[in-house]
Amino acid sequence: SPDPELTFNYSKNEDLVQEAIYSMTGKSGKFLKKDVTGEFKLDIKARNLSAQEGISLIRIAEIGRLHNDIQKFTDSNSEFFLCGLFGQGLISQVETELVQFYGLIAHLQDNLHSQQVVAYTTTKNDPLTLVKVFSILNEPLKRMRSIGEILQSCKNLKGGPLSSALYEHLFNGNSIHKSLAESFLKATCRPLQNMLSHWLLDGEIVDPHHEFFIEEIKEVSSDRLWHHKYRVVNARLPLFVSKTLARKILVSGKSINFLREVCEDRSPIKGREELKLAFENNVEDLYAPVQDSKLHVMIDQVYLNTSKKVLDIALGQYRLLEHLQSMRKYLLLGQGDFINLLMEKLKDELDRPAKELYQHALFSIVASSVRATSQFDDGEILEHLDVKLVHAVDGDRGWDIFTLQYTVHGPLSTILELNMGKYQELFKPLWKAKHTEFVLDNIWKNQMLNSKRMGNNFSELSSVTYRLQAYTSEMIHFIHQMQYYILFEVIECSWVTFIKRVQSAKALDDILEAHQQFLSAVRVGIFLDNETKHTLYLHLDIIYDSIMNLEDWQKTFYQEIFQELEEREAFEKAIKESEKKGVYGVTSEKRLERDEHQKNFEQTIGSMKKSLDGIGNNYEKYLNDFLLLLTSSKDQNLQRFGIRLDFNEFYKRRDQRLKHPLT
Amino acid sequence: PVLPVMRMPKPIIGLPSTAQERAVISELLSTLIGINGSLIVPKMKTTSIDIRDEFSTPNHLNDNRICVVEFELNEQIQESIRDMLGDILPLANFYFQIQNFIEMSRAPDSGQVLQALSEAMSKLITDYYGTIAQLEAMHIKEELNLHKLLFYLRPIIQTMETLTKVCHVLQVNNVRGGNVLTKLHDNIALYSGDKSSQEILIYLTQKASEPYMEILKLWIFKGVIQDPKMEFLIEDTEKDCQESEKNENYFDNFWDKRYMIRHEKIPRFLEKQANIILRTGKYLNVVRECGKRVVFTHSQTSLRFSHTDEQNYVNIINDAYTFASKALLELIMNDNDLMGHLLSVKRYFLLHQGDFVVQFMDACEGELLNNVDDVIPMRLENLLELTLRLSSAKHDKYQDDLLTMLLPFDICTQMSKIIKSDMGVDVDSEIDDTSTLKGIECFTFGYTVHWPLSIVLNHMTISKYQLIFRQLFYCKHVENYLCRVWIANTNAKKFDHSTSELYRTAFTLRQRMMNAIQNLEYYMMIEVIEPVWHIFMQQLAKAKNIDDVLIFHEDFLDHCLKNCMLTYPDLLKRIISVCNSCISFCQFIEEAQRHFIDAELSSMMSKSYLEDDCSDQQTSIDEGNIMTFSQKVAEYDETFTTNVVRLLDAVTEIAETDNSEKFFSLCNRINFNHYYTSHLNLRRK
Repeated sequence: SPDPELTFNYSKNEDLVQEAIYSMTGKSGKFLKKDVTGEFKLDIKARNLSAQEGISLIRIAEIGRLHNDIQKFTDSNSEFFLCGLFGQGLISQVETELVQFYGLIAHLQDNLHSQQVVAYTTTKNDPLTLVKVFSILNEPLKRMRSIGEILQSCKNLKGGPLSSALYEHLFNGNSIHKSLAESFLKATCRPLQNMLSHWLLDGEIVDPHHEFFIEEIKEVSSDRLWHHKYRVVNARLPLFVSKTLARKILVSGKSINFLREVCEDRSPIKGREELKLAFENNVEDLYAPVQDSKLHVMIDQVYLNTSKKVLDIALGQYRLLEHLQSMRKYLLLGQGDFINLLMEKLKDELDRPAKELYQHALFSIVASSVRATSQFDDGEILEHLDVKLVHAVDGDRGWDIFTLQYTVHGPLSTILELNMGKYQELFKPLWKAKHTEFVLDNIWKNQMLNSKRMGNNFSELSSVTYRLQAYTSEMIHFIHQMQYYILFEVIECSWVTFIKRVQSAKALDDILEAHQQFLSAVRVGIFLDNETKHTLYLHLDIIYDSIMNLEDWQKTFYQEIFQELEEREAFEKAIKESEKKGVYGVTSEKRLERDEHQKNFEQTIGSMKKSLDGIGNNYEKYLNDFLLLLTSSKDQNLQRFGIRLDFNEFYKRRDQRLKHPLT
Repeated sequence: PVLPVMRMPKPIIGLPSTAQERAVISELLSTLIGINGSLIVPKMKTTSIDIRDEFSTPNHLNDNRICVVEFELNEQIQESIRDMLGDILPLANFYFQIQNFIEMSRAPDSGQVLQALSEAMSKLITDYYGTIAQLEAMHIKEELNLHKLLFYLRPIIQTMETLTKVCHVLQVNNVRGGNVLTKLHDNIALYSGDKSSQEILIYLTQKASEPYMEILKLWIFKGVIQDPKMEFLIEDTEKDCQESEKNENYFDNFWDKRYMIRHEKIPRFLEKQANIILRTGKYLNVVRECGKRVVFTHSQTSLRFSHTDEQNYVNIINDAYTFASKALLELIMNDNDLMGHLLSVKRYFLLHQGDFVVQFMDACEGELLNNVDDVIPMRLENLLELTLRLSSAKHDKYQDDLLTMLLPFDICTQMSKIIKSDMGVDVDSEIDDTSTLKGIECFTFGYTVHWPLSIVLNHMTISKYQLIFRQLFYCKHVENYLCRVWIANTNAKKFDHSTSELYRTAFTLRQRMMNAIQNLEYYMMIEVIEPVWHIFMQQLAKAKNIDDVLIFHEDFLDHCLKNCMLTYPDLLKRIISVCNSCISFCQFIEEAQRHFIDAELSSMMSKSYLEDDCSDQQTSIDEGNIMTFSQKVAEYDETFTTNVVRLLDAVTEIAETDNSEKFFSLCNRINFNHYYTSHLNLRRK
């Protein structure tokens, strides 16, 4: 009879296979014991196993260790447990994988059991041996390893980063690994899909574990909803959601909230049902390699729909564009007749020191000017327009502290909140330029009127008046070019581009961005932006001041002249009257007195002539500096402006510095 | 794995040979699937191997050493059994090495191709396990002996050996990505005699190429690269470029530099298609950049490697290419109106629109005659805008794209710079001296081109247009100047016969200059540019894809450049010196005009003025100048003739060597009635 050692020992084989099956679910058995690290080791009892039996057991036990590692992630008490809704989705999918694995084990166990039954009855069938188990387990082993690796990379992650980690496993050439990663990712994205559809359809954030990439800042009240209430949290953004897509999603939900809370419009969004369906059926589109899948198209659609709705409401019901237009009219001095009338009416008030001004008095003037000029506007403007006095410093005149203010209410204030301050900033330089123009107009008017009144009496003053007129027209040329530049080239041109963008806008943010750009274009245009240009602004201020000086000078100049004129006339009259009376001429005393006055007058005029030259020279010096800055500027518009200011090279011929070549 | 002390193997020395065989077989079976026994003991060893692979050149940098396993047999085993084992045990070694390779290549960073290959091999190994398990079942039923075992295992040994060799090739060359496919593909050919090995290789190649083909599909159907492990043959050099960072520079580089072929990553079977693949995706990308959706309608599923049916994937790639190139061509031709832009460019750069050119020349000639440093670019810009709106160019939709430019060098320098930079000399560092240059010498138009038209009208082509323009514009300027002199000279008709005799030489010279310049212009505009343009337009109408358009455009420009003599620095210099001699003559006549003609006229018409002191003086100046005047004219004549003759000489020379008939016609035009032939002959001698 053959050696019992060499014939096949059924019962021992059964023991071994049973041991192996136990070890597969990570249980210690007779021979295999778990050590502290979870690794299976052969026990001392295994001494009477042959080497290959021992090694076989150990190799089969590897799958048990993997199983234990994977199970840790699903155990809510372990440190590896994945929290959050995303993790929940993942775990549930892992559970199905484990169930499948248990099915396999049950099948093996069944096999073994039936074999035992058979063994005691009839012929010996092919027994289940360790080698056979080993060959059956090869594929599941690979699968478990992949699951283990995937889970390992998800350790301690939640939300967006978790799905990003899974997403990276999609790029594995191993098809089992890839399909596992796909099914996990899909399961993980189910909560995301839920959150997205809540957000996109109802503007609600259902996110108990802070996983969603859009965040609501609870402290922000709804009047600042548009700009501050919601934001994209980049750290929670899954890799496969691009920033542009995230922005679109943000805007869509934000728009819904805006419509509901601020505009109190609760009508449902178009295409709601389709989107819901698309979300349910095509979650995997979210991480499709090309972002033009059906889901993306739907998100685009929702984005466009909600944006369109917000846009329509803002432009229609709340008349955003009309308000922007009025702001341009009144705050950026777009409506000439109003501004002129206002200046005319305010002149007396504003010439006074700043501290004597009262807001309500000024407002009534503004109101009357508005009423007089705004025949094309409905009467609502006055509800929005207001006077604001800036905090006055000693020596300020009314002109320095007067500003107009425009307030909007309701949803629009939410939208425009950020930009109102900018209008204030722009108003001041525009107002100053306009004021200077106004002053110059008056100077010129006075010159014209007074020259008639002076007649031919002061032929000796012709050199002074000539100078005065020359300076005045130089200044008028300057201020006209300046006004043209600001009002046409800067404001009007930027406005046209702005309006074009408004007309083609698809979303409210497009308009807001265009508005922002419009304002900053104006800001740059009137030299308010950065360091180099700021010097331009300062120079401009000095030029304006020297024009103001001219006004004061002219005032005293004509006062002197008319005083002299009156005295002369009185003197002549006295002579004539005395002639009528038959008394000859005037007394020498009076003649002397008259001569004395005349002399004084000539002296005053002499000194005034000097101060006029001083004003003129200063003006020219500043203007030259200004021109130099313009021509040496890198901005083409400014260069062009410089050329136009000096169109016949009047200044260039006078100033060496301007002759330097531009190229 | 570390084992606890095992039960010692039972001595088999005394056993009968069948019993011994049984014991050995049960160990052997486990050994074949990597489970050690005690009779057959494995020993690890590293050896360096020699790979006979004609496709891979021997590379000493590669690590040729690999890990193999050898077995020590227990002394007690009979000699005959030992010999039998010697035949079977290599299989265990193969298994070991293949398993090693599978483990290595399934690592996350080894790339998708290797991972897929690893999976395919692992499937084969599963089958192998199955076989061993069956053999074990036989063994249990005591139906197996070593000979039977060898009989069953023989074919398996052969396949496993092939697999091992493949593993060696891949391991030693340390390949990844597309390269793996190349190696596998090469090996298919190596095993063409061994059918079963070849089948296995084909199977492996097919499996391994699956992820690669996925990447390829995405690229040629959508224009997207999704290749995190850098295995694909196309590389996106600006993958991380964000939407906001896309400036002009980005678009400039887009066409040439954005996507590159990684030559080492092209699988052998796609080598011929690599270029087409690159272009397909590139085209689709442009279409996508322009905000259009790419929807490829053909079936996309069947793109996979096939050893026998190569035509299948070649066809699919070609289909995708036709689709992409059509889409892009449509985009550029229809949506962006390439033709309109080309016409617009021709209108301005090739002086297609006469009235615009004349008006512009009139408007800015004064400004351009200044030294270039004194020209105010702003003013030129304004004048250009004015002319554009006043001339019939106002009907051009794209008139606002035209700009003026002043370059800091003249046309000869620009050309020599281009030639130098072609030779690899760094020219940008040279600082140009502009003090002697006039505005007209530095002036040229610029043209703003928007994406995606900048693919066709790129920086290079625009600068070629500029070169032609500068030459034409300069000639036009000379002609204009000569015409002005001619108008002024018509006064001479009023002179009496004897005095006008004096000027005749000068007028003849002027006429000859006019003739030369006009013929030069005629030659360039009518004989060179127009016909070539015509051909170019015909070609464009037939263009099938964007690369055709690019090639036709380049051909057109090169042809123009060459035949307008811009590519020969020597010729160019001579043309310019002919022009310059005309200009200096004109200046001289203009200068002289002020003195003479007034004097002549006044002496003729009003004798009374003669009595005046001042006209007395003038006549006396006249007397002094008359001598030098005719001398000077003779001098200018001399210079001009020499210059023309030198030009003709050079042109004929080039025409003779270059065999291009167009140059001859230029000679014939300028030298119309063989006026210069005698000079030429003289020079030749």
